[in-house]
Amino acid sequence: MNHFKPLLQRLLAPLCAVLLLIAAFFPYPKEKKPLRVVPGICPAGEALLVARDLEALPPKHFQVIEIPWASAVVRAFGSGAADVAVVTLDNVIRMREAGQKLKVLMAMSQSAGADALLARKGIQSLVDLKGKRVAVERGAGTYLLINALESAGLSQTDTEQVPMFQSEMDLALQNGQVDAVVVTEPWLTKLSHGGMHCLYDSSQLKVPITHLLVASERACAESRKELVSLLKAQADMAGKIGAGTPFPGMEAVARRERVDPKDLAACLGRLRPLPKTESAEVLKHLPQISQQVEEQLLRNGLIQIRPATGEWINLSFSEEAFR
Amino acid sequence: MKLLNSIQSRITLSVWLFGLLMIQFNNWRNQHWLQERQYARMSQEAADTGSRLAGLLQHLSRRQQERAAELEMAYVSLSPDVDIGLVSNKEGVVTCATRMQWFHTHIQQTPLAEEWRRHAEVLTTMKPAVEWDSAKRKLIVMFPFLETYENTSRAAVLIRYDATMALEQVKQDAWFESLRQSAVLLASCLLLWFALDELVTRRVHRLVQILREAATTPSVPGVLQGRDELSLISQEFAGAMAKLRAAENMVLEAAELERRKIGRDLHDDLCQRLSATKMKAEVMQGMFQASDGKIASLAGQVAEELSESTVIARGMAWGLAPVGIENHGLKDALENVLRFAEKSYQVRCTLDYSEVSPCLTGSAQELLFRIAQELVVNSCKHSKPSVLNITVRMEDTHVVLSVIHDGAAFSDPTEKNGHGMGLHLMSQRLRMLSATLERTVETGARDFQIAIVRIPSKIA
Repeated sequence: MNHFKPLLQRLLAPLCAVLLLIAAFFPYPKEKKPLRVVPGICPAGEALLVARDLEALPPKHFQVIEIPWASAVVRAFGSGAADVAVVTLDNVIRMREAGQKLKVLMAMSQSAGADALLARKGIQSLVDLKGKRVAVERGAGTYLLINALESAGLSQTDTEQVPMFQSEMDLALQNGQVDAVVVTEPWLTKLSHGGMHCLYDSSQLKVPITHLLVASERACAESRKELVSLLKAQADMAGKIGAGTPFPGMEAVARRERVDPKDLAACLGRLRPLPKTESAEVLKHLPQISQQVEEQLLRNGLIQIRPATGEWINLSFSEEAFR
Repeated sequence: MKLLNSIQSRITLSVWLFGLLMIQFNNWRNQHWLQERQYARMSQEAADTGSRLAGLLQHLSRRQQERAAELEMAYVSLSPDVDIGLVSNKEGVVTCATRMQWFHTHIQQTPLAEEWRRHAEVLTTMKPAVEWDSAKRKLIVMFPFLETYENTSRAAVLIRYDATMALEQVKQDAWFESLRQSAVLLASCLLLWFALDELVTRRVHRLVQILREAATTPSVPGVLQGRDELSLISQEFAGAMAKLRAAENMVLEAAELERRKIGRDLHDDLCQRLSATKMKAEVMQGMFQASDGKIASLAGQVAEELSESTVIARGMAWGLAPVGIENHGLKDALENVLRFAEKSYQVRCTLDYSEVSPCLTGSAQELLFRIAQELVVNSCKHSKPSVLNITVRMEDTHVVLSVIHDGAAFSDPTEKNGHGMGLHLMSQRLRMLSATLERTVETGARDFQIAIVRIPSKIA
């Protein structure tokens, strides 16, 4: 006691000050929200949805939200309603142009025919599209359309572009409201069954359509552990889905994509999953690829200015996930 | 355990424990309150969403805008509390869902089959249902609507909310608040401990020190500053001690007076009578010497014994009333003491005396004499010395009395049997003189025991 008392008296003032400071500036508890993931309803996002269905992404940490339209996915991410989204490179460029703070964490897959320009029987070639009405969903088909038109020596002004959700295109074609449509899977398979034929598809692109996993900067800062788990789950499920054999949860995928199981295989077959090493390689070259796409989008007036340069790719997450 | 014995620690510990109890109670109350708020919020949100969605879906389904309905359902699932949501017609076919995989399946194949069955009457009564499960973790809302303009085209929105995460958050919030409060409590208790230490413990220790000093030193006990209870106690104690000292002095003076009176009576009465008797015995000796030699010898012995008795009685009378101090000074009185010691105890005594009388009052000289007397008699009686010396001298501002002898070392009799009246009286005299007594030993071929009394000359 006699030794303890002087020591305590010496330490008392600083100790009390520290305790009162702790009490005064005690951090408010952070609201623990699960990481909100919006993969979109398309084959590229199915790996994440299957991971959710198979509880590889526990609901306590991940809230996987099914938003059916690609443009709605972009809007949800832009408004902050989602932390992680699966989008294409041209969408990333547009989001960056709009000033959204995002990081590309992973290149998931590349379209190998999963995006296409379909036309009615009367239209035999791209040149025939001159003066025709072409339905396109903003954010899900414009990149393919400008490439298709450029390949035929046409420009955007040579066709009349009709903004439309892909779910509406079938009916619009049947009613003769449009002559051609730009669609992605699974609509591509469905419309192909309806007698439409392909004029141009993503396998013909010089710069392929790449599906990227992007996360908000806030999520990168606050949810590193979850994001690393997400990348692992995505890679794991993508491997199973891309194996070409039946996989767990396949029925749910077919119901979600609203295709027959046999068509599902064809849908998924038009998508080239990027293994871990190839994904890392794509990310390394993504700035150069992005520049090419930016130039094309600028040329066609789809973006007004080049997005600000800066760190928009973060390899550390995939490096940590696949170490 | 020693820590817990102090009032300071006990009070601090009691406050801390009580505070912890209060924080725990507050935590329980906070959790309960926040939970109730969560339940109310979620119920309200569920009712609002269900109602809005039912109206919207009725409108969209009548216009066959299934895709827009799907998007609406997707936005519903943005709420972190929504577990799953379905729209089903009365036939049980799912037309819309927050998870697309249930599209166009039968509701009985979905995770909400049981909930649909339990609230099937909603489609009959067309009244919405909002219900928590028994564990109050899941909330089910079912809102009916009409798919077409026909009254029979009944359908319903069924949404299941999961409150688990929200309730965990509530728990965490309450604990965070409790942690903050605990930090404040701990700081407050430390400050309380410090305040008690400054205001009570240290002052109590000082008071105890004053009490101890009062018992051992002649000075007037000090008082604690301030007007608090402890200061009052110390002031009262100082007053009581002053009165006690005054009473003690009066008793000593009265005893001294009585001693002198007895001494004078012995000298003036008994000693005179003994002298007279002695002389008569001598006369008788002379008278008997001629007639009977034996009787004369006996009368001579009586006269001799009477002579010795007279000397002893005079010594006693002088001891009780040292008239020598008044008439012949302190030096003669001390020499008498030494003579008494030599005679009574066969000790060789010496005196080294410097004149100190001008520095001491008459009563102070008497007290000094009594102290010397006590020291000499005690030494002779208990230490059995062969030589003894008394030195009286001035040393700076003090009169110093030293009693040195080669006898045994002094041992405090109070340690053995609890008596020692002589020593007690000596300490009273020392206190009256504001004097100190120091005992020491000078070692050498022979050990000499030294008792040194220092009397401040200001007492003069």
